[in-house]
Amino acid sequence: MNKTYLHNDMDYKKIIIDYIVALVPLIIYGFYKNGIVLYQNDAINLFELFIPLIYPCLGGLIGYLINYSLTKRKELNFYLLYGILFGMIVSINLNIFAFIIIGVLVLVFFKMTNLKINFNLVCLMKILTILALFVFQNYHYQNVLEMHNSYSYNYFNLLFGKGVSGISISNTFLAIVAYFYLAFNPYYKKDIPLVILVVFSICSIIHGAIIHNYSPFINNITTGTIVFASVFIATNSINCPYTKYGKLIYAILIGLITFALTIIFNRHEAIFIAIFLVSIFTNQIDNFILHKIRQNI
Amino acid sequence: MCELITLKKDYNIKVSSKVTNYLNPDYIFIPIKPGAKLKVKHLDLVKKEQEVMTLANGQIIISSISGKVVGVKKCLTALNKEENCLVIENDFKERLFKRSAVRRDINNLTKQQLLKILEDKKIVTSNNNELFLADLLAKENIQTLIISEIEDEPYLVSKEFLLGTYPNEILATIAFLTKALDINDCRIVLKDIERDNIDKCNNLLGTYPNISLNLVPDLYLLGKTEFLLKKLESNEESTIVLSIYDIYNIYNIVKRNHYSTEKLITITGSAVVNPQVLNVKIGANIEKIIEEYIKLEDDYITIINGLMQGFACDYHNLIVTSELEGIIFQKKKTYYPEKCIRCGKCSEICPVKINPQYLMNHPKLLPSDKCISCGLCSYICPSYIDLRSIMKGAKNE
Repeated sequence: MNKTYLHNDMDYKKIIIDYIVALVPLIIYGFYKNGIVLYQNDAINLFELFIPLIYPCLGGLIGYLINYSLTKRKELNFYLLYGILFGMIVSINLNIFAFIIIGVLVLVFFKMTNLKINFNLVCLMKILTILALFVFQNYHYQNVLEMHNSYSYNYFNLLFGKGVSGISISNTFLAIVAYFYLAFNPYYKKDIPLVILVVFSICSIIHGAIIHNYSPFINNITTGTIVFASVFIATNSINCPYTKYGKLIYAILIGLITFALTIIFNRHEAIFIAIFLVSIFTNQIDNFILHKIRQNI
Repeated sequence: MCELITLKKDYNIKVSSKVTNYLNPDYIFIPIKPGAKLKVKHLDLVKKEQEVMTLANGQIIISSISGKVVGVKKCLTALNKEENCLVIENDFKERLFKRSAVRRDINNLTKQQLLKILEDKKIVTSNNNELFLADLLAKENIQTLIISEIEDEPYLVSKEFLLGTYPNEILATIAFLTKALDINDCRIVLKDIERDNIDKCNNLLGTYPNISLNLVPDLYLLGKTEFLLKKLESNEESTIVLSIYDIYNIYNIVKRNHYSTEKLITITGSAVVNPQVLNVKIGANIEKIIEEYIKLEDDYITIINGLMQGFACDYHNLIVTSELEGIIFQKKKTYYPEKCIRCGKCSEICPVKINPQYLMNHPKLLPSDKCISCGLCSYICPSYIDLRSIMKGAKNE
């Protein structure tokens, strides 16, 4: 066998660890915003205090155990990361059983069927969660305090995480810091978040100029969801192209679809649907680029 | 050209600075290649440097010892092939086939005389077994002569040791070559991390004004002529690249009037207690050498000719041939290949610009003819996918 017996220091485990390290500040902030602050105001009990930590940890555990039970491998795997991300983006109001059922069903189904179609699992779980919330629960992201009080936050407050969003993704500033941290990892596709945000911003600014109102755009950006999804979810290596122009097309499409869906539905979760839709065509985008520019294959 | 990289190395693996000699094997084994014409029979007595067979391309194969032909045995060569080998039993007398005197005045040899000597001895280049040294040096309008001492494979230091052991002989041969071939620009290319050899050469170069040192960074693949020429920005048409082995062979043939019957091999790795470079007879069995000189830890994997481009095998049946550079005993480490994460690093790093990720998913396009089997795709793959094997047609499991 013509194997190679020397290996680079960087492997998929280190990539996963890098992602998790970058997520830690956001999880801690989520714990502060949706746990400690509420507990200090006597809005929740001691168990509920830990819900912002329980969801990401539970998600990670589900992902890890599913992979372990089906492959019998103890190493870190991407399913653990998917679980953590899923636990961070859901609403604080989501029923924990709904969370477990959706997480387990999607991951087990995907792992067992070994589908040839490439799509972003985290986004699929998120879309199913939104549907579940629509059907079974009151669909909103506000925590107990936000529901019963009205706050007047400026954009600066929103940038630092005071806005209403998923459990641990409201802090745009920390997501940007995480982006710079991840950008040092040579395997992180750092162009994608930049292009998504630039395309989305350009479209939103043009739209803002037409309607003479830029606040929806600034709200969308500072709420955290779009930045978080661009930095952590759209860049999931398995579900995005690897060719230079493929990455560009992928990011531009996500930016455009996110903008269009945001205009239509006026919901900041639009980016999850956009990533899910575009990720389905990842292979096609790469193959198109490889054949179009006649790159040696 | 894609950007070449420096490979990760374990700097704790160091070989002894002394070369150990193993020049009295009980038997030697000479591979009988397809189309080879045998010049000896069973139980014939042979002398050292006696021609024992001629290969299909005309290359002469000699015996590195004197003794008796005792049969044929299947052995493993450094090209990862099991071949029938002529077995010669050593009589330990080192009787030479032809006693020939050292040429004292090689500096006065003309190009024609040099080419005639090399042509008669049918010596091939160390990089290409099909190319005769005489044919390479016969090229017209040579302006630059590059002597490469670069070894791509981490931990293999035989070339480095050859220059370190025979600096005077090698520099004198290079000087004679430049004079005979009428070349004004001659460069010895060394890695800038080889401080000892740089010092040795610098101390001697004052005597040879036509020879200069060219230091290059420790980048993988500079050992291959095409990448080295691109790095040095040399014109391929007017440049000849010879390896340090070629120079040493020319020295033996032209100056000493003998064939090379010995070879330096590196035995090293994380499972070797006493890594060292050994000077061994060509054709010797590796098992005996390991038994006698090398202490190994338990649970290792044996890799022939380097971690990047070599192959794993059982060394017990392996013999020393001119292609053998070294043996690496690495502690066993288990890597579990994961699904491709589409990072694209394999196609980014590929020096010949093929796309292993795409080819892996389109097995009909495999094996790839363009692939030079450098192993960089496997080295860089974060999912431990054995792309090097896949590019050569192995199934993706």
